[in-house]
Amino acid sequence: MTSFADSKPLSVSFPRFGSGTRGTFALAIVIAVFALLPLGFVFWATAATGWETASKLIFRSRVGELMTNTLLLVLFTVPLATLLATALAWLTERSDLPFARLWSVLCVAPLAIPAFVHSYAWIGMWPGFHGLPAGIAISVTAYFPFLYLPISAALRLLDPALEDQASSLGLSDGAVFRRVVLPQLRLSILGGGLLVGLHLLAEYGLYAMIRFDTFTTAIVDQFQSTYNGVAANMLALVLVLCCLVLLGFDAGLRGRRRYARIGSGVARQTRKVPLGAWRYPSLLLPLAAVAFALGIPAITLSHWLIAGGPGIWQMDEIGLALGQTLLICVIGGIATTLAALPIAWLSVRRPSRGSRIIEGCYYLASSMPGVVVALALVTITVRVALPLYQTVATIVLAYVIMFLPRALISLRSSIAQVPAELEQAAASLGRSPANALWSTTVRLAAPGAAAAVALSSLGIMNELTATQMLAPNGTRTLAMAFWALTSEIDYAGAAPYALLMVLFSLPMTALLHHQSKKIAGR
Amino acid sequence: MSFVDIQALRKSFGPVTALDGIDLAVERGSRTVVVGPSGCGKTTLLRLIAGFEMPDAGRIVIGGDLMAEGMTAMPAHKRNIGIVAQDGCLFPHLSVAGNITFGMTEEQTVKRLRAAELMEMVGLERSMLSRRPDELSGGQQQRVALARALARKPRLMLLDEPFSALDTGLRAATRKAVGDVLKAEGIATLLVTHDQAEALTFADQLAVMRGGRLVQSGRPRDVYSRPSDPATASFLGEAIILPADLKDGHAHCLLGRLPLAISDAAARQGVIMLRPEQVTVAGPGSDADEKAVRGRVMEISFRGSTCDVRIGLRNDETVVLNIEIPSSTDLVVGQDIDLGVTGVAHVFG
Repeated sequence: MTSFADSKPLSVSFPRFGSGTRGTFALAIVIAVFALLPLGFVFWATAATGWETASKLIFRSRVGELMTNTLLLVLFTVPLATLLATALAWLTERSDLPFARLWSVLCVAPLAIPAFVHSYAWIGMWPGFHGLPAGIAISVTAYFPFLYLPISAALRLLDPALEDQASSLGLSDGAVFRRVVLPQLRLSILGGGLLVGLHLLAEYGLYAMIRFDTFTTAIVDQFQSTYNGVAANMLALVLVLCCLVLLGFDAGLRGRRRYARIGSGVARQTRKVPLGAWRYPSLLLPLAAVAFALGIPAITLSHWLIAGGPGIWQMDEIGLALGQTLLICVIGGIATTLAALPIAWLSVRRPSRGSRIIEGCYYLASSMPGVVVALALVTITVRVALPLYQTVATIVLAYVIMFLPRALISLRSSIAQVPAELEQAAASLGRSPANALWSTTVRLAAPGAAAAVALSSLGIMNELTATQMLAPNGTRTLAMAFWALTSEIDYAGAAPYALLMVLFSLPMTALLHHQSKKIAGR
Repeated sequence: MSFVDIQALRKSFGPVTALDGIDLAVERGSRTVVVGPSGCGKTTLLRLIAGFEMPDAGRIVIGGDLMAEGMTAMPAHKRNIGIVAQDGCLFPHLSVAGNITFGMTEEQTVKRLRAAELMEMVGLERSMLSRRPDELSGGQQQRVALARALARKPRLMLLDEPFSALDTGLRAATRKAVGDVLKAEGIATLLVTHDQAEALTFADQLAVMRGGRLVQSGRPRDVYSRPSDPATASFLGEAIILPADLKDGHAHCLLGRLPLAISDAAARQGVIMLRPEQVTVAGPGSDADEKAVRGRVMEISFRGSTCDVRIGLRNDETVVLNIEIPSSTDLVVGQDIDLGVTGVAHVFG
């Protein structure tokens, strides 16, 4: 993918495409403006509140408490998840661990389980498990796959010749790992770590269920109980600043370097390191990880499904929730993919400084927690566009803002695989620019577009925070129904909804796993 | 015992036999080239010597120390053998300085001095030390890779087709620079390549490898002019291979009566080889020598300073010689010429 950012613009070659390119650019900018609405709103709200009120609301012990919680959560979870994911990735990719392929699939599978279902499962197992330790433990098990995916993909692509070279320069196996392998995993670890960190900041359900207060849970509480706009907005400001710090931290560590393989030709197949006497004891690590990340949800869910008996299958209600969920997922997924299309095309076919900046805007916007996006859109619609308040249009906009990069990655890689020459060939055969684009690139990139819809739909299906705050009256998605029932301590009644969410997420998780192999190193 | 002593080395990957009993000796400070077509096992041989793979059988001794015997082997990082790979294999996450000092154990200041020294040795600017590998050209990357391998003063340097990724012009210059540095440092060198011209240029000792075996080794000039079989003859360069009657220390063949290097006592049938540069071309009837062999020019390919000429023999049109002559020679297609031979003919087996 980098190669496209680096390659020279093709704009000179086709003057006929000039107006089309400008139009696409304009469209991409309009979408970027919408995407940045929540972020802009938070800063605007702070400015409108005035320094005195704002500082009173920000510098108080409650915020300090939330800050401590959030900070501790991030500082413990990210390193622990990194350690776990790196060890698992090394075992499954580079050692002769028995059943390595199976473990590698099982290490990604927890992504099919929404985070709040993870904590539902833990609570079902250990009802007294609360607070920071619970938050860290559940977060690590729920989110380590976000690190496992890129790290294992990077390990798979490492050039083993570099490791041979290092050992010929006198380094022991341990030193080779520390000085050659780890540095090359840096980008994957940073990328995965950032993703986990942003999830920790944004997640509501997981922490609300174990009564662990973070900025996100506090904002939702504030919003639901008092609708104290100003206080919620100020908490949102601090949360946004936390996200920005995380993004800046990541950008600073990342630097501008990429570690591409310099050499030409095909890399030698990586060797599996024999674990020797450790071969079977090593199984304990993936076994434990999978037991916590898949076993606990499986046990709790089956427990409630069996205990609840046929009575919990309220087919009319479940059917209604399923129908609404699928509808909103499809609408949201298609809208997100359409919104990603202009920038995806631009970044591959007409890469420029401008296209990179616009792309950066989308990534920045999607890094904002759902609660911030929702809060902003609620306030904006109530104040300026009341007819849009709690409509499908508003909630779809929220989804577009939150999930656009997911669609973008799929779209871009599939567009990149279609040679630009095909478009030009179609044009030379007399097709209009739009027609040429449609009959070549769009046709051939269709599988990528389908993947884009699927991946954004997966996000939408398991989204709880923004959906709850923005959904039109009477909407009840699977996630909302699940949440409502668990809030009433009807754990058995919630089980069918959790099961459905997991079942629908499984194929899309498989897709994600497959895709990660293609975009490794990004 | 030679400095590097390899005996009966075997290695298989599943059903594929990569090395089928290799014996090779390398003298201290000398340059040995193992040459062979792709897939002949030469890279495997190098990887076994470096310690990246373990042999199935046989032994490797370097400087009197046992590196590998049968299934037991010293790990690569304890062997102190330098290796420069085909693509340089620089660490992409480190600067040039970081790469060069990678294997050094001295203190920081010593490292820095030595890195600058090594840069000079391989003919690179010191200012490049802060660069990243991807900011260097292919030839520069190879020189950095060499400097990195030299930094540890290895007892043996392995070169795995390190010049093949370079452009033609750069290749010769880099090869000479690398060869000079290694010679000056007195480090025994083992180069593997599939490029016969490179092999002949670089080697003190040439070892020809085919199908996992060493088929011949010796001084390059000897192996070139006296190859052990027709396949080796053709691999090392254009060869004219003809059946001949051998008697009285001469070969009687389509090119006339040619002297042999060795005088065979018994008359017999055999196969001889000539190198194209042994064939001389003269205008028709210049010396009305009745014994001269007549040929006809069939095709001329202009190559700059020389021409490749295809010549059909008049008395047997099916025999075609490909020779190279100075392009200043005046020849046209269809012309009849007289062919002569200088030097001796080589007899196989």
